[in-house]
Amino acid sequence: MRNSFFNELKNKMSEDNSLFLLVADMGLGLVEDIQKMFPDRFLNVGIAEQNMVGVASGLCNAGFRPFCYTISNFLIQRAFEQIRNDVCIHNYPVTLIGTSTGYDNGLLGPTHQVIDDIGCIKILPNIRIYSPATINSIKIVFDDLINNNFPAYVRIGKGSDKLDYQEEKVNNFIVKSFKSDILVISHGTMLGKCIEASRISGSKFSIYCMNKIKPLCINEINDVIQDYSKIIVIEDHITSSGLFDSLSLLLINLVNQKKYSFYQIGPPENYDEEIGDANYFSKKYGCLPNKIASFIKDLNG
Amino acid sequence: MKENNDNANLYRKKILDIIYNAQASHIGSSFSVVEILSAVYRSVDIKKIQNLDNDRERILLSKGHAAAALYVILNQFGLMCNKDLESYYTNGSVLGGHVTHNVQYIEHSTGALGHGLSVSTGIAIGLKSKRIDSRVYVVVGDGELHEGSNWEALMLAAHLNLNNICVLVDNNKLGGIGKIKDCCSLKNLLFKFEAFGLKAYEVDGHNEYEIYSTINKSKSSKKPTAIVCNTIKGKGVSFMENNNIWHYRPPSTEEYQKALAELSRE
Repeated sequence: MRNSFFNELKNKMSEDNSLFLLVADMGLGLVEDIQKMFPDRFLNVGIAEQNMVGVASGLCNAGFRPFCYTISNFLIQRAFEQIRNDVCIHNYPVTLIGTSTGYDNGLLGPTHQVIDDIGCIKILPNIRIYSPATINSIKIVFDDLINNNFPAYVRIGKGSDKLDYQEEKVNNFIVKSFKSDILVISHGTMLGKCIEASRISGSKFSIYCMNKIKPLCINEINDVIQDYSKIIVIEDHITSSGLFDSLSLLLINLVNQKKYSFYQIGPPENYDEEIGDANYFSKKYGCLPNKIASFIKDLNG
Repeated sequence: MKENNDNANLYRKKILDIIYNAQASHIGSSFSVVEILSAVYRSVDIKKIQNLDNDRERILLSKGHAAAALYVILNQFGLMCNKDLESYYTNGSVLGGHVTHNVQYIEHSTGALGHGLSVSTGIAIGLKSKRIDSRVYVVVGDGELHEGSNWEALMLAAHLNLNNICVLVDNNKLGGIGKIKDCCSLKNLLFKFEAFGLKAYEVDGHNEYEIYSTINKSKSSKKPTAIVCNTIKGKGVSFMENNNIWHYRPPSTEEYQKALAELSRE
């Protein structure tokens, strides 16, 4: 996923000389090509995330379109005031690229559990949030963010590189079952688990992938959910402030008066004391394909 | 440009007027930074700022709470009309108590401290990258230098030899509730800047000519410049000088008249 993102960035930087990459001493094996090809548009600012985001804002003032890269837990929370004041208040097209999301780095302990980043960022006006699920979606996400001159956060988990389907839009149905009233909505790394659940599950259900989770379009969601009555959001983010929470708010405002049952599968409101890899936490919080499949089976009664 | 204090007190009278009329705060900080801002604006090509040319010099007031001083200076340099200035700190205006980029010719919104230096560093990098030979002036408060992000920016600016950055410190030695040296001393500020790799100067921050000449001198520097301008918070009005209450309090009618009389002397 990271490689694909940086390859795409490299291509775009060749086409557009306003693009500038800043890193906070992260990206070994990822950024060297860009550094060599565009020495005037690459800078490692050191382990100084607040400064990186402030510098990005200054680069916008000088006519550049910067990308800021480090792992998400260092980027979002450490530089939050700079993201708010220097980027969002000015509506500067700074793209924050955060990796190691969810429990990708769960073995490194609770400081590296990136399960609250969407919540932190989504409260800010102007900013867009992308959570690409596959290599294919990275290209689509890139085009969407380049075509929109807004601040953006791209949440790059380890993802499901090899998923075999072709996306057409930034958000779309992966599986559409006409025999079920159950809809699974997911994004990023968790999409692969949902697709695998669909494969092994006896019960049929639909899957909608949201590579873009902010802003949400009420018409889009209205169209997507109209054929279903049970909606399950599966994500590696805490319930109170992830996509589940955003969709809950949206559902209240739907003109459609239909009643929906609405569920989330994901981590609880907690920084886990235990360490573990992403698979360990997926198992613990019911996000493995077999657990998802049995949850859906129970829903079907 | 030689003598300056007539101008400075003229500016202070305007600052006093708008702050008194609006019953706003931060008069002490606005009074201490007057000569610094005036010297900076005198050092740049105002026409390029008016035209928003890419190669205009950028001026950032990182200590955004001294907004009243900046607005008055913008007005004096033909960058803000009287009507806009009069709307300072009133409902529906964009001229708030902290500077914002919603005001024409203000490069960046500030008000949370410790942001201006990073943004200025980014601008300086961008200008260098585009081979544009303009400078970035950033005015910071001494209390603001407690914020660690400043030192991240200074380290990077020095590492990259950003000689197009000029940092001016309004060194009024007072923080929010007392003397800075009693809260968390900056010790030898000049030495700190030098140690970080900047060319540092110390000047009388109420001598506009000295600030102006130092800025001029620094234009040929191979390193980023820091100019520590020693100032007095509340400068120009005896009962406001070095008294922290004027970080917060607006003047009463009686205080306004007294202050006005002092600033009108000579």
